[in-house]
Amino acid sequence: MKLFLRPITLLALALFLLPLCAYSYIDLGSGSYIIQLIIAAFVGITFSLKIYWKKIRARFSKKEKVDKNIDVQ
Amino acid sequence: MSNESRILPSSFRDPSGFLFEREGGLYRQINRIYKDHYDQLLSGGLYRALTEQGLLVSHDEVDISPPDPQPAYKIIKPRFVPFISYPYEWCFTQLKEAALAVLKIQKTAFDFGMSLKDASAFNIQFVDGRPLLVDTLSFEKLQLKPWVAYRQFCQHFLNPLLLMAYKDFELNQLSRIFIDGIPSSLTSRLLPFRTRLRPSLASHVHLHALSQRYFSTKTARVRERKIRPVSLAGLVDSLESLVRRLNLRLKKTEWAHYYQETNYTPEAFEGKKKTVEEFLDIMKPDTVWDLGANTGVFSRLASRRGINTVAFDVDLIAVELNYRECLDKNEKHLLPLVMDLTNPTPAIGWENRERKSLSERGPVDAALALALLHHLAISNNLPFPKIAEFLRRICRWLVIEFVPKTDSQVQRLLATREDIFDHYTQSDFEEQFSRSFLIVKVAPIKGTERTLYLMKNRSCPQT
Repeated sequence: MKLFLRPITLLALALFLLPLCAYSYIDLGSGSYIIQLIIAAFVGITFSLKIYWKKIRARFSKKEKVDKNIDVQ
Repeated sequence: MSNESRILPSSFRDPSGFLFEREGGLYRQINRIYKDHYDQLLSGGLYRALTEQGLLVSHDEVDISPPDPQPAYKIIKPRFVPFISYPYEWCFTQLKEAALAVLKIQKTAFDFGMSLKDASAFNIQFVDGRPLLVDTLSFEKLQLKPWVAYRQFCQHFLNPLLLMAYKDFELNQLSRIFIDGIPSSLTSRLLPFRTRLRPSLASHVHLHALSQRYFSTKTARVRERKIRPVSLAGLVDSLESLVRRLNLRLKKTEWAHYYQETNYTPEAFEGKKKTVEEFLDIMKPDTVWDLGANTGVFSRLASRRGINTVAFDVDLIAVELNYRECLDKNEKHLLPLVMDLTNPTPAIGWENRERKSLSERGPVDAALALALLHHLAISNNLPFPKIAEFLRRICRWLVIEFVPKTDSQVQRLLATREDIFDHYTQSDFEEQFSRSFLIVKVAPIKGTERTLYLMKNRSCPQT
């Protein structure tokens, strides 16, 4: 999870640098596309809250501090 | 195009490249249209990250002439996959593990600025007991747009899992009819009403189906919409949470308790195992199919020797229990699969050549048909010549158990029907099977009326 969360901010920047040359060989489906946008808008908010909550919890968690020390070593 | 290459009939949808066979080896041509994405996969670190986690098939770049030189960029040789299986042959946990693997791959791909451009269950194979993405060309550079494979993921993974978890575990067989996955509209109609009250299910299935219906006659301007990275990550996280929570409610079935309900004494059971071990010593097979494997007790006699073994059974729960044991014990050489031998997997898809039938995936070095014959001959009215002919086509060696009419298990099968099986005798069995097989060994199982036979296919005596 840590590996997943860490690069999100970098990713946001990287996305603007990447050339938009990809293509889709499968059909997105208009209905699937629109519902995905709606779901993503909602889960994006809850996922952001989840990330912050995990960060807050990690700060007060002894276990996480031990893990961090191990990382530093 | 080169004459010595054979392009696989399943490899035609994606213009990024295709699979081909040459001189017994399997290769993939990567086309120039996919160059940038392939280079980023390799140089950006995603390939290494995924292969190290055992999530993506490893490959070597090879210097051989491409079968279609004009669009070719590179040729790669992917790692060998011992047996190709299909989603409609998987049990619930296999499908769930495959779904979670796809989502984990997508999360890892985000970390490296890439994304899955498809989420087909046919791109997943079970290797070393775990799901593995075998399509190296499934990635594209990440863009600020909705996940292109979202609909495919729902149809190939989420919908069958939900139907199995909430309705009936046999509904996975719908994947055989709907080759591009079970539609959300059908899933929505089949799922119980209470699933509409759960937000994640309501959105990914029921509203999804409604949206598809609404937009079926309209065109949305899909290319203009952007999406934030956190929303993309949230979408995958939401699907992962939903899939992770799904569980199969196990029912007691007749077959899953077969070993406990058998009429063997422990000594006879051990004697049967010992004889099968002796036969394996004689056959020395590289591959084994256990036909009617139940929970895989006898399959493991082969797989524990490092022999790649496929354990087929018609009972989904027996396959489920077998696969869970594989996961618990980290077994790498055993692949449990759902298979009705009286109606084995047919060839399906475009021109009936896209997905192979069971017999097209053979022949196997050795087949085990233990405590199976009476179910085929008596429960399914299959005459001995038809059974022998089927087995002749799929295996080089055969270990088969004859169970006489006097056996209590056969008596149980005959209890509710008229005995029309005058030809069901040991001498008739030997005579009919001798036409296709050479009987190498005959071993009565002590303490029972049953007999184990080791037979060699007359059609391929050199192996």
